Amino acid sequence: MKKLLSALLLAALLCSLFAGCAAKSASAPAGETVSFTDSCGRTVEIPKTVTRVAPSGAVATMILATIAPEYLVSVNATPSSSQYRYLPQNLAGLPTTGQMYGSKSTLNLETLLGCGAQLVIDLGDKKDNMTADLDALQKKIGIPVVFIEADLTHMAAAYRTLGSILSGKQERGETLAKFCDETVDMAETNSAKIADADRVSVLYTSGVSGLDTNAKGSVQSQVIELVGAVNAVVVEDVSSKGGGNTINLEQLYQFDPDVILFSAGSIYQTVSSDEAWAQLRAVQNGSYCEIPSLPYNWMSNPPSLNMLLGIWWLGNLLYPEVYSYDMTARAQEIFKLFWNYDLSADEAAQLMADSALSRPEG
Amino acid sequence: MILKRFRWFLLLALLVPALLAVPARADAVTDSIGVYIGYFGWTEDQYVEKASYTWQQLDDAYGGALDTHEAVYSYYNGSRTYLARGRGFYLRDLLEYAGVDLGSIASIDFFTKDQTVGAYRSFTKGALFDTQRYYFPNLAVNEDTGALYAYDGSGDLWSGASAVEPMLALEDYTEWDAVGSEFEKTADPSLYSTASRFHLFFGQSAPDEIGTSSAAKYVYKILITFAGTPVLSQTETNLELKVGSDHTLAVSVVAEDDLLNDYVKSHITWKSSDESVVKVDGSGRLTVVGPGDAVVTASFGSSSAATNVHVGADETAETTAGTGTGTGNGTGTGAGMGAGTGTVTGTGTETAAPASSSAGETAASSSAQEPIGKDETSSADETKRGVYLLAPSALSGSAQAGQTGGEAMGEGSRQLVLQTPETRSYALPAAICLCLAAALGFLFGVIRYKKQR
Repeated sequence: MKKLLSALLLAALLCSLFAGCAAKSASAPAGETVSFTDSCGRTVEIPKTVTRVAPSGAVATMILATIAPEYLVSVNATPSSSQYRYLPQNLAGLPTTGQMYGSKSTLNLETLLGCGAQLVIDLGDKKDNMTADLDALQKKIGIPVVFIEADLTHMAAAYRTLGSILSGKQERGETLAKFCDETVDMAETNSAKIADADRVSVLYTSGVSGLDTNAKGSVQSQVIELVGAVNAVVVEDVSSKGGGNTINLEQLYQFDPDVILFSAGSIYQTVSSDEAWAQLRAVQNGSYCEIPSLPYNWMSNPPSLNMLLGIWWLGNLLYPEVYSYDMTARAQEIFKLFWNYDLSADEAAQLMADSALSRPEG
Repeated sequence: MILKRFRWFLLLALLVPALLAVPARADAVTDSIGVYIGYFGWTEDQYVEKASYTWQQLDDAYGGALDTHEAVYSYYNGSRTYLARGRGFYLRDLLEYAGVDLGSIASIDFFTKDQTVGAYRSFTKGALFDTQRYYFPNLAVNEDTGALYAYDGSGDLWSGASAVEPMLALEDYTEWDAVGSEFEKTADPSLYSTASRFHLFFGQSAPDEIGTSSAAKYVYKILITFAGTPVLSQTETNLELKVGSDHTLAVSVVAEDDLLNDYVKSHITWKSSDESVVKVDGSGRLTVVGPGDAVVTASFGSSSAATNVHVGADETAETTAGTGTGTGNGTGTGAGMGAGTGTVTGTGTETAAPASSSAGETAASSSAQEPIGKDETSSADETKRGVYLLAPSALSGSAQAGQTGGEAMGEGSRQLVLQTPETRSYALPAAICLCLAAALGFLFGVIRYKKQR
C-alpha cells in the first residue's frame, strides 16, 4: 500500500511538472545539442545546428545582423526610417522584443517565446550579475541563452565564436573577425607612431546641453585612445551608460579639449554662436565636428561594431598624415562588408558632411 | 506531527507547479495596435475589436496606409520641461481609417505594454480632439522654483506656439529640461528610435498645462467609448397568444457600429414577468404556459425593450386539454477536450404538450450518454457537464407525442461550447495535479502516522 501510494504521489508530481512545462515545450530546443561555454563561464547545451536566433538587445542585434541577418527571428527594435536603407531589409519585418539590459529592461518574453528562436544570444560588454540574469532568463523561457563578450577588444573573437555556433557561418565569421583584427592592428600601429606631445585631447559629448560626455575609461570612448588621442574628460565615477558623465561649464573650460566631437542631436550647429561655448579654444579654432551617425553613431552608442568604422574615421580626422587613406572609399568598403550596402560616394559625403574639422589638429 | 511527516510532499506539490506555471509577462515593445469600441459602463473585455494593424500596415514609409508626419511636442510637469520629436500618424487618421465615427466618441483610453492593469491614460474626446493643442517652443523652467518663464525674454510663453495634432509616433526621441527652440535646432532624424512605438504625443492646450506623464509609450490598444447606449426595440410590442403556441420575438439593435449591433444581439438577456403565463428562452423563443398577462423584456446593460403578452382564458381551455408524459430519445454530437457522439434519452411529464414539441423544452429529466461515454441521469436544461459548457439554447430537439400527451420520442443535439485555447491554459491541469498531489501526500502521511501509532 505504501509503495503504491508513493508511486501515485510521484506520478502526480510528475504530472504537475509536465503540466507546468506544457506551454513551453513547443519552444524547447529539439534535436542534437552540443555544450557551449559562454563568456561568463556558463556551460549551456545549445542546438548543434543553429539557424534561428534571437538577440537580447541592441548590440546583439547589430552584430548578428552583420554575420547572419537571415537567421534572426527577432530584433530589439525595428530599424528607424533613417537606418533602414543601410541595413538588411529583413530586419524591418521581424518582431521586436526590446532589450534585456539598458536604462530600462524592456525584454518582452511573450514575443521572445513566440518567435521560434533556438537560441538567445547576448553580445556586448560584461556586466555585473550577468550569470544570474542569463540563468534566470533561460529558466524562464526554456530556450538556451548565451553571452558572448563583444566589446571592441573582443569583437574579433566574438565573430569567430558566432561563426562556430551559427550553422554555415564559419567563413563569414572569420572574414568579419579578420577585419576587426586588421582595424585594431592598424590603429595600434598608427597610434604608436604618434609622439606623446602630438596626442590630441578630445571631448566626446552629446545632448542638447553639449555637456553629456563620455569620459576616459568609459566603454563608449574606447575609440579615442585606440587611435592615439587622449580623452579630455577625466572624472572619478566613470559612467559607461549612453548619457555618460554630465559635466558643467567650469569643468569644460578646465578640460579645454583640442577637439570636440558632438553626437548628432547635440549643439554642433549652434555652438559657435553660443556665448557659453564661444570662448573655448576648440570652438574658436574650429576644431569641432559632428560624428557621423548612420546607420549608428560611428563612435559608439551603442558600443558595437560601429566603433570599427569610428576608428578609421577618427584616426583619419585627427592624424591624416598617419591614418592616410581615402575615408570615403573606406566607408564604402565597410558598409559593403558589414551590411552588404553599396554606399555611393555622394551618400558617404552626405554622411560625413559635418564631420570634418575646419582646422584639423595633429 | 502529521504535517511534519509529509511536509516535503506538500511543499513539492505546491511549489513545482507554482514555479513552472508563471506566465511570461509582456513588458513593453509592441508591433501592432488594436482599436476597440464599446459603450460607457462596459467592462474592458466587452469592447469589440474594430480593427488591428501592424505598424507596417500603417507606416507610409514602409508602404503602409496612413500618411506620417513629423512634429515636435512640448510638455511641462510642474517643474521640468519635456520635449519630444516624433514621426508618426495622427490619431484622428487612424480612427477614421479603422472606421470609427469620431463624432460619436465620448472618451478614449490608451493601454500600454508597461502597464499591466487598466488603461494608462484616458481622455475625453473634447480634451483630445475638440480642444486645440499646441507645441510651445518658448518654455523654460527656473531650476530653483520650477516655474515657467519665456526663454526669449519676451515674457510671452505663447511666443512661437504652433498647433499640433495628437499623434501615435512610430519613431521618436525625447529630451528633458530642454527648450523647444533649442531642441528644434538639434533635430536629426538619425536620432529616431522605434523602441517606444506606438508613442502617444498630444502637446498642450496651454503653456502651463501639466501632462508629461500622459505621453504614453508602448500603446497597443485603444478603447473607444461611444456616447449614449445601444437602443433596443421589439418589432412586436403587444402579442395575443394561445397556450401551447410557438412564437419567437425579434429585437432590433441600433448601435454606433454593426460590430456592436452583433455583439449586443448575441448578449441580450430575456425575461418574462410571469412565467406562469409565458416563458422565454435565451433566443427570445416563447413558450406559452397559461392564461394571463406578462411582459417579456429583452435587455442588454441599461438598454431594454418590452413586449406585452396576453394569453386569453378561453384559448387556454382549448389548448391545455392534453397532458401526459413524454420520453425523448435523442442523439447528440459534441467535441470538447475530446470528441465523440452521445445519445440523449429523456423522460418527462408534459403539460399541454402540442402535437409537435421540443423534447429539449419539455423533458423534465433525461438520461444522457455523454461523449466521454459516461451514463448519468440529469436534468435536460443543465448547462454544465464536466469540463463542457452547454449553451443554454443549444439543447433542442423534436418530439413526437401522442395527441393527449403520452410518450414522446425526441431527437436532441447538444452543441458544446469549448473552452478556448486562451482559457484552456496549462494552469488548469497544473491546478488539478496540484490538488491530486496534495491529496495523495496528505493521505500518505496520515497512513504512515496511523501505522506508527
